[in-house]
Parts: sequence; structure tokens; C-alpha cells
Amino acid sequence: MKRFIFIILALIYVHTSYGEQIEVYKLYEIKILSKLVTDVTKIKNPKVYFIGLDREEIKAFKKYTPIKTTYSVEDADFIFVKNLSRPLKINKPVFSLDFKSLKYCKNCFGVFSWRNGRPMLIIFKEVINSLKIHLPKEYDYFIDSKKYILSG
Amino acid sequence: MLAGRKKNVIFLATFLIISLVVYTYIYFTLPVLQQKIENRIITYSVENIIYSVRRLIKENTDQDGFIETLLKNASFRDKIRQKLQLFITDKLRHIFIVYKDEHGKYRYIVDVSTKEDVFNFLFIPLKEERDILDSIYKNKRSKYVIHKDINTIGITYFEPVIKEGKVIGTVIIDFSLKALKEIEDLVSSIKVGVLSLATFTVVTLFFIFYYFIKSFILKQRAYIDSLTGVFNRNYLEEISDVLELKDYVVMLVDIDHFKRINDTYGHEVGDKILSKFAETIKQNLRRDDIIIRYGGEEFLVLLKNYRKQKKDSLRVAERLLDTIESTEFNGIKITVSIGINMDTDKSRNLTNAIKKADTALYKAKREGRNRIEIFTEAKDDSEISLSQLKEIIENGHIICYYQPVVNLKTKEAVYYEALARIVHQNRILPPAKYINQIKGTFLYSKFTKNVIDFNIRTLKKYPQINISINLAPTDFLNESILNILMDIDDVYIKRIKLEVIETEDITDYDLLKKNIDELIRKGYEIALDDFGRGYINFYYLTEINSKYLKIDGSVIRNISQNDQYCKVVKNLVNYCKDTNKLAIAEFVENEEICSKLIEIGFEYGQGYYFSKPEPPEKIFS
Repeated sequence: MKRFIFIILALIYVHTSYGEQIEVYKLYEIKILSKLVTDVTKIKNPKVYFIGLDREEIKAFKKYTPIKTTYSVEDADFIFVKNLSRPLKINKPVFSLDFKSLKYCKNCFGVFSWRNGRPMLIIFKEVINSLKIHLPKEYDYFIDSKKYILSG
Repeated sequence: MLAGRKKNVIFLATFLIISLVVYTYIYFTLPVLQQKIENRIITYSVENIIYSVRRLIKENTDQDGFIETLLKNASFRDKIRQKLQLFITDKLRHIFIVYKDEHGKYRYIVDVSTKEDVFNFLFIPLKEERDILDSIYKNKRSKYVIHKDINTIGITYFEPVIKEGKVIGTVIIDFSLKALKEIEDLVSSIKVGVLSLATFTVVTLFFIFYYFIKSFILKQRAYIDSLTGVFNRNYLEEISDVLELKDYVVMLVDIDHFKRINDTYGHEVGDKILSKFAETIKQNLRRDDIIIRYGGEEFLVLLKNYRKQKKDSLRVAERLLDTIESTEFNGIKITVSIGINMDTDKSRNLTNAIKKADTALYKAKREGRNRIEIFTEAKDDSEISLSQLKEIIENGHIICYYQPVVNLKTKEAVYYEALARIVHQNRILPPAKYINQIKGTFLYSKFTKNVIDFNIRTLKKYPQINISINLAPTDFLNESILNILMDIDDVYIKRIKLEVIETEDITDYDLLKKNIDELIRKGYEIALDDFGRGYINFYYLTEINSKYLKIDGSVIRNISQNDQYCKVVKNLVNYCKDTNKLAIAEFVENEEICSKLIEIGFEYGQGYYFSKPEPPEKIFS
């Protein structure tokens, strides 16, 4: 009986582990965002506060990146937002994971989304300048004027 | 033949190596080949769409230009977006148009995947796309990329929009993973097919090669004489039909008195000598010459006749003869007799060529051994060559004429001496024409066997007569002849007298005496022939228990003129009477001799005075 229970538990574990396998594109996204957080905060293990992200997404960050999650905005070094439905004003680097949230978060310094199967990372020149965020040269291509997004 | 086989092996090995090289080449160039196949398939797959896109651009290009109008006119962008949307299928995922701004950034003009106006949105190419896009602006040629690192799209095709020789925009078409998978599956099938075919070919060739080598080795073993390491007669049979006979000189090499070596030193030493002897021959020949162990101690050498120079072949034979004579084989000196057939182009086939070399070898043996003899054809009809003689004896074309030995007083025949003749080209040849050629050879014993057979047949046919058969001392030492004589029915033995003829000296007198005594016990009567001439000496007279003593014609002929001869013969006759022997006078040519013989005391005589030798059907009828 004990052996049977062990096998069942092992199967459940294997099944759960299998279910937790992350998709390649999602991993791609997490790695990009993780690097962005590190480059913005200049901290090795930054604490990140997530707004609007589901539990699986946060777990993926915890599992595949050096990012630490925090449940306190004050304690956070970086904030990710998604699916905002009301205005948000925080005096910390905020990054949106969808275009819709940009309407409610004026001080979001950039957005990440998927377009035509490609990761789309845009960093707003005006916002990073005002927040005095300095990014390495490799981000130059992604830094663009916010007007293009708004006009779109 | 062996050279032919070697060529086959070399050919197969070369073929195998080439196959392996081709296989290796295919294997290593497969990625390039795969790329080419992919190119072809992708080009084929997107051809229709690209054609339609180009047509759409062409149809919608006004004087300002397609991209310029798109950049200026939002409704035109929407119109184009709607038209491009029609191309979207489950395989064709995205179509969008981008341009390159003054900062080198790519921006959307139209994107079919969304109804929103994404004009001027930053287009962020994937890592592998960035360089391709830049190169398109430089080379103005369409390109595609297969995405390996991301699983959202499969293949992206870049179609430049060119105006006045400059790329001013790019239509980007994304094909789904499904499309990519289909292509990859197809390519992989082709790859597997090519590899399988190449593998199958190489494996098949390997097995063919393996079995060829195996059968080659087995055949090789079957063709090699295990004792000497040279070819055996199986090989001779194998090559006889394919050998270019005219390119070779046939040489037969036979070790002289090898039987004595075996008898004296034993077979083990004999085998060692044979082995070393074969090795010596090999060392003295060239690579293309063929050595075959033809018989026990007889070796057939096929000398490649490169320049058709007879002296070259003769030089090889002479060198061989000298080398063997000066070499010690297990401490034993040996000599060889060599028979050569130089004119192989005159031989019907290899067997015939060997036969001629064999004839020359017989001659070398007969002439005293340790020499080389070259085969020559008979010059005229009166001569008979050894090869012809060999054929006659082997075919049994031997007959006997008979001359009576008569009682001098009654003139009645006591018995008839069988005198061998051979039939050659419808002529009857007496022994003088051939006997010297076969003396001392194996042919002689064959000849004797034929004579015995003929006489047995004569005795059966004419039951009233007795016959004497001439035998050389060597015949009495020959086991097979002795066996034949011992096996003859007693009825005929009583009617046969064996005449020991004058011939070459012999060495083993004891054995000769022993064998003759055995024949006497069996019932044969012995006559000593040609007494008074050559080798018939007092040993025979005293040691051999003969019934008859035939006094040679050279003595008889002189008795009427020479008193000394007369006295000796008279004493011989008296000796015969004293020892119970019967004296027979040979060469009785006339009445005078016959009368003189009777006067001396002879009872029996033989000669033309009574009858010349006649064939049996004439003399016995």
C-alpha cells in the first residue's frame, strides 16, 4: 500500500512538473525583462513588485531569473504592471507588459509585448530621461519616442 | 588468370573506396545540400504568394511610388492592409511592411495582424533578422530566414520594395511553424533517403567485396600446393583455357633420381627438399612467371616470354640448372633435368604444349640427366619424334613380329621370339628407329607392358605356339611389370620365355637375381639373349638360372671364318650341356652357318635362314 501511495505521489509530482514546463517564447520574454530590470536598477537581485500578473507568470520569474518578488511597493526596486484598469502613480521605475496599461500609468518608462511572433520592447525616451534612468548602449534601438505609440 | 583476379580485386577495392569517398562527401555536404533543397522548397512554397504580393505592389504603385503613398496616406495603408489580409492562411501567419528611418530603425507602415494603425511603430527584428534586413538594403535582393530559436514563427521572407535602384521598404512575410515543419519534414525525408541509399550502396558493396575476397581466398587455397607453396594442378586446369599460350615458354623441371632420395633419406627429408627446391625455383624466376607442381618431383614453369626471345628463356633455364646444382638441399646435392617447349605458338593448347615439354624432358633424362633439352619437331617421315612415340605408346599402337627358334636338325620351331614393332603413319618401324629414344624413360616400361599385353593376346589366339618376350634388366626391377608378369595365368606362363636382353648396366644385381628367381618359381623359363656382346657377362651366365643361352649373331657370324670364335663357341655349347642349358645360335643366315652350328654341337638356331620376323597372322597361319 505504501508503495502504491508512493507511486501515485510520484506520478502526481511528474505530472505537475510537466505542467510547469514553460513555453520557449515565455522564457524568452522573462529573460528579456529580467535583464531589463537588472540593467535599470543596477542591482544583482532586484526586488520586483508585480501588478496584474497572474500567479504562474510570477512563479516563472522566480524560477528562471535572479529577480526576487516582493509584496510591498515600498520595498520594491522595480514594478511590472499588466491589465491596469485604473490610474497608477508610483515614484519608482514602472514597466508595462501591455499597451492598454499605458493609458493608466503615465510614468511607465516602457512596454513589452509580442507583435507578429516577435518580442517588442519599447522604452520611452521622454520618461527615462525624466526618471534619470540610464541604460547601456545595447538598448539604443529600443528607445523611441512615446508619441509613436500614442499616435498608433 | 591470377593477374585477372588481382585486377578484379583492385577494381572492386577502387570502386569501394570511391563509393566511400562519395558517401563521405554526401554526408559532409549534406548540410549544404539540405540548404539547397530548403531553398528550392521554400522558394517553391512562397513563389505564388510573393508573385501575388509583387503584383499587388505593382498594381498599387502610382507616380509617387508605393511606399511613399503608404507613408503619406492612412486610407491607402488601410486599403493595402485589407488586401494583404486576404493572403493570411494557417501557414502564412503575418504580412507587414516596414521602412527604415533616418536613424536606421525599422518602423511599421502596414501590419495585417491588427486593425489598429501601427504606422511608425518600432519594428524590432529578431537577432537573425537584423543582418538580413540590412543586407537587403545593400543587395536589393529578397531573402528568407528560418527561425531556430523561437517557436512563434517558422520562416520569414523579406521582399524588398525598390524605387529608382534604392530599397525604400520591405514586405515581410512570416510563415508558420507548420509550414516550416512540412518543409523540414520533406527535407529530412530527402536527407534520410539519400543517406539510406548511400548506406545501402556502401553496405551492399561491402558484402559483395567481402564475399569476393572470401571466395578468392578459398580458391587461392585450392590452387596452392600445401607442401611447396607453389600452384598445383587445379590452378593449371583453371588457367588452361584463358592463358595466352603464345606469351609463355613451357618448361618442365624434374628432380633427378628423387626416388632414391626418398628411399635413402626418407620422405620427410624428401618433402623438405621439395619445399626448398620450389623456393629456389621461385627465387630464380620473375614475378610474371608461373610455377606449378605438376607431379611428385616435377614442376611446370610457364615463363613469360616478354620479347619473344628464346635465348632469354634458355638463360633462365640455365641459371636454374646451375643454381640447383650448386645448392645444397638439406645437405644433399641434387640435379634436375629440364625440358623446354619454346615454340608454344605451334602447340594446339596448353596440354599439347606441356606434352612437348615433357617429350624434351624425357630426352633430357635419356641423355643422362642434369641437362636441358629443347623440344624439336620430327624432321622427316622416317624419323619419329618422342612426342609421337609417346602418343603411340600411350595409345597402345604396338605390335609384335615373330621369328622362330628352330631345332637345327628337324627345322621345327621350338618357340617364337616376339620382336616389337610400332605402327607409325601406316608404316611398321623396327626397334632401331625408336628404342634408343625411350630407353631409360617411363615410356619404356609402358612400352614393355604393351608388348606383354600383345603377346598374351597372341598366346590366346594361337594356342599351339610358345613365345619369348624380350625384357631389359630394368624391367625385372620394375615392380609394376613384375606384378603384371606374376598375375598372368599359369596356362600362359608355361608358354612364355623371358629373354634378358643386352642393355644398359644395372646396379642392383641382387634384386635382379631375386626377381628372376621368383619368376622362375612362378613357371617362366629364362633365356639370356645376345650373349657375347655388350653387358651380357659372366655374372648372368653364372648367377642367373637361365634355361637358354642365346649366342649373339656377332659371334655366330664369325665362327666359319675365325677359329678362335669357333673354339669359344664350342666350349660354350659344352658348358650349356654340362649345366643343363640349351644353346641357341642367333643370326643363322645361311645353310653354311647352319651346318657349322650342327657340327659344333648346337641344337637350336634362329635367323633369316629359317624365317625372317613376320606378323602373327602370317607366321602362325
